[in-house]
Formats: sequence, C-alpha cells, structure tokens
Amino acid sequence: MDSSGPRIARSLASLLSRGTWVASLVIAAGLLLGWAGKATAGSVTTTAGILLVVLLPIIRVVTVLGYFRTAGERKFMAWCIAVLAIIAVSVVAGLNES
Amino acid sequence: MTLALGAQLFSISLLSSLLGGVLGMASGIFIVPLLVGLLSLDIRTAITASIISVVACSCGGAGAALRAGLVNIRLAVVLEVATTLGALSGVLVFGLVPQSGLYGLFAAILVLSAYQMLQPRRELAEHDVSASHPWAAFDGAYPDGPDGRRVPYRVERLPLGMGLMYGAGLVSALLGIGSGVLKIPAMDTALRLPIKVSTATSTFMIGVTGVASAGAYMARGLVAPLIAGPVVLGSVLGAALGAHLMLRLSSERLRIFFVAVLVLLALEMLIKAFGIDLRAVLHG
Repeated sequence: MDSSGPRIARSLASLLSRGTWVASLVIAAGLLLGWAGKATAGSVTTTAGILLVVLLPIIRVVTVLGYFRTAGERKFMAWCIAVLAIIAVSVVAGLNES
Repeated sequence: MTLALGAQLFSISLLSSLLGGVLGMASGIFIVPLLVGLLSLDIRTAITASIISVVACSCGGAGAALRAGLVNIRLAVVLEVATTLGALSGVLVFGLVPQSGLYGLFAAILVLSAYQMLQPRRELAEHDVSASHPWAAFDGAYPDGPDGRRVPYRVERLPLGMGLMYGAGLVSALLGIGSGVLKIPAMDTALRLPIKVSTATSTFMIGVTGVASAGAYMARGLVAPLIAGPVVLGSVLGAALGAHLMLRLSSERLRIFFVAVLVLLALEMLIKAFGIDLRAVLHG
C-alpha cells in the first residue's frame, strides 16, 4: 500500500505553492525593471525567476528522496536518484550543444 | 522587449491558462499555437517558453492535489523515470526535427486532444484490491464523497504505463506541453487508476518531466527570458483563476467551444507543416 503520509504531502504542497508564487514575483520584478529602463538588471532578475521555476521540481525530488531515506525505503530512493540523474544528463547534453 | 509585446504575451497566456483551467487541462497545447499564430513567434521560441510555464503551472496546481491526499507519490516517482527518459530523448532530437515536423506533430496532438475531449472519462470497473499482484507497493487509497471516505485502489500493468509515459515525456519535450493527452490514457486505461488520483498524480509529475527538457533548453540558451517571463506569469495567474472558475461554471458548452478551437489550431499547424503561407494565399 502507498503509505506516503500526509506530512510529506503537506511539506511538498507548501514548497511547490509558495515556491511558484515567489518565482512569479521575482519574474514580475524583473519585467518591471526591464520596462523601467534597467535592461540588464531586468533580464538578470527575470532569468533568476525562471531558474527558480526550474529548480522547484528538482528540490521536490530531493525532498521526496530525503523522505524515503528516513523511511528506509531503498528501492524508492533509487528511483528518485535515477530521476535526478536523468535530469542532470539532460542539462549536460544541453550544455554540450550550446 | 516592448511593453506592448509583453502585455500581448501575458494576455494570450492568461486566457489560454484560464480557459484550460476551467476544463481541468494544461494550457501549453493552446499557448504554443496561439503565440505562433497571433504573434508570429518562431515555434521553437514558443515551445521553450511554454515548457517553463508548464513547469510553473504544475508546481502551482500540485499543491491543492497534494493537500487533498490524491497524489500517489511512490507511483509518480517511478513513472517520472519513464517521462524524464522520454524528455531526454526529446531534447536530443529537438534540434534535428524540422519545423514542418514539429507543426505536423502538434496538429496530430491537437486532433487527438479534441477527440479525447469529446469522450467523457469513465471510471473503470472496481477491482479486487485484496488480491495479490506484482505492483502492490504502489496501491493506495484516496478520499472520496462528502464524508471523505478512503477508497482503496490498486495499480495494474505498470510496464505498459511506463511505456506510454516515455512517449508522453518525449512529446512534452518536443512540443513544450504537459502531454496530458498521452498521460490520461496511460493512467486511466493502462494503470487503471481512479480519475481523481490519475489527474492529481499527472499534475504532480508534469513539473519534473518538464524540467528534464526545460533545464536542457536553458543550458542551450534556447529560452528567451523576456518572452518566457510574461508567458509564465500569465499562465500561473490564469491557472489559479481557472481552477476557481471550474467549480462555478458548467463546462459542457465550453467543452464544445474548445473542441472547435482545437480543430482550428490543428488546421493552422497543418497548414504551416505544409509550408503554406495563408496570408499570401488570401492576398492573391
């Protein structure tokens, strides 16, 4: 039976919801800076907000990995590590082609 | 980027996400064709902006699903291995697929989505949750009805589900969409999950699937921050408003309207796939 408890679900819910709004606010601040004539600062801030969006699911997988580690569930830890490894390979593939 | 272009990107994404949210579906499938058709954006620029917004909307939407106790986290992690592998494959071939191929694939997915929208999802017959089976570690229970009674369910045919999820990840990376059109048959029909669990787990997974391609596109320098920024903002806001509206509106008329929109967008993509310049044809 899937016994992934409500505690981990609540932690993840809070991480993802709050993280999304924080990232959105950073992006909005970046766009406003750009439109106010501060092009470089605007672009850097907007990119930082987008990077936050991309980091959120990765932090989520790391959080789930920590949960399975605490619960001593090695098989599910291995699945989490596999997901992180595939994402890393994908980013490296992107860097090599840039 | 001008304020006017930013406002247009924001409005198109907000509207797509708002209306998509009312129907309980992701908005990437509307955003890409609308950005290409209305703003004449390059399809790859639209796709890479859309995949960032897909990740953001998944993160924003997963919170409610998690709090409601509908997400099967164990199953999601295992299926994410298949979807991220599919996304990695998509990343590797993204630059090799010609634009006409992307337009053609998009047209096919739009038609499939329109067909799926006309077919109401039905719960499959209940099965014996006590019988032993190879995927028992993924079985779960979800709250249902006004009293929140927990209904047990079991997971079936995991290898078939993972195969379909690989395809969903591949299409997600190639087209910048959440690929719900492929995930729904995988979860409803192959894994035989209850609709609520299937929808919630799919929303939860889309973010991780999207990151496998979004991260690569960012590393490759294909994401234009000043295009993606307003698209993300519009999408996140639209999805949040759409989820509230969904509870108040009857979606049946909207469903028919959306089928028509999907077919029109499919035609637009098909015309582009064949390299026909409709404006030139219309102006003789």
